[in-house]
Amino acid sequence: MIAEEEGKAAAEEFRRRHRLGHQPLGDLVALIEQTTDIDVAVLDVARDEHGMAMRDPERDRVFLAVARTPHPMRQRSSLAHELAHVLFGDWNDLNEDEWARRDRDEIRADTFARHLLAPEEGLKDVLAGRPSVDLADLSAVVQRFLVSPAMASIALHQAGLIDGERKADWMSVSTPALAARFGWTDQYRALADEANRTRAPQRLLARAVQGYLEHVVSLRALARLRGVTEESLQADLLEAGLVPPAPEVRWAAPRDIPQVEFDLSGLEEDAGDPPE
Amino acid sequence: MTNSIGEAIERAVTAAKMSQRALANATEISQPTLSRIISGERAAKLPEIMAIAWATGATVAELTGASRVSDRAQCVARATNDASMSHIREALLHFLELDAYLDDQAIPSPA
Repeated sequence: MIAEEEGKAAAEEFRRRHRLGHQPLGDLVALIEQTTDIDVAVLDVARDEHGMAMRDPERDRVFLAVARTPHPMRQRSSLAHELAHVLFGDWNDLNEDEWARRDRDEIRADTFARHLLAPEEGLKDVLAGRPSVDLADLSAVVQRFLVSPAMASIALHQAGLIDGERKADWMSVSTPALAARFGWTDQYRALADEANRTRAPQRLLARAVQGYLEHVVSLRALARLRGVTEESLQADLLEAGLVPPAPEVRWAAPRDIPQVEFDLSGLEEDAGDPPE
Repeated sequence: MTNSIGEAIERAVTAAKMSQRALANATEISQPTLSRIISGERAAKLPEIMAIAWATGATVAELTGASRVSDRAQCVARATNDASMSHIREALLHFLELDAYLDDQAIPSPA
């Protein structure tokens, strides 16, 4: 099977298995966390670092992270792209110097992302009965499926809904421009704000909160996981009534052990006595 | 080995967005001592490592290099312009380390 077909088939299978129909997918982070064993984070990272998935083969755990960014559509495509790599098992050794670029894997992941986010049947449903597809329709598809105009154009072309020339024209349209032209700038800004916020991996954070309540995880560790200050985190926890119970062990550190006065003089006297 | 602990501590301090002074306050280890531990001039004692781990939110295994997670972990990444991916890589490694630590501490996953 060629990479495109594999990517498309896997996206369709993913939608079928998780009963997603042809509907647009809302919050992709929560969707991945709820349908797979993968824990997802949105992180504040360096420029040009879009996404990464990491796996501990011994414990069979997978974490997926994407960058915080004011470009919500790009973030969604990164999430879907990384999800494809995890599903296809495209793993590299962690300590490789170069991030291996295997073209086949990349094409397959891109195709998966496109078919997952903007499925052909879904596009046809939205555009049913239109004699021709115009820029307002492109805007509707972008707004509804939350994909970039470039991704939407490729999907529309593949679905046979627009010709190659129109696709080429629309590839360079920007989402903010469509939003401004067709009146959904406020929604776009809200999406951008959300994509630009960090998010801790939910399962790990929940476990770490439990660990905090059991005195094995520090407040600082929780704060680091959430990317907030200890002060604001403590306020959140207090408000939620999450306060670790007082520890049962009273002397946890050597310096806390109280000084006890004791008298050994009797022992010396006893030692002087011959055993009976 | 000692110096790799120093480097690990330095990374943990950066990740926790702390200053060396804040770490000294939180751990009750004097700043000169901390600075000698970080530079590798003085070996860190285990109680000191534990205090530093608690204060920075790192695990002891991360600081001592006792964990093998980073040796066996595998990844797949998407970057442009030859980004080094070091930030995102470190963050994900920390997640795996913390997850392994929570396993060791028998903290269950929420249902």
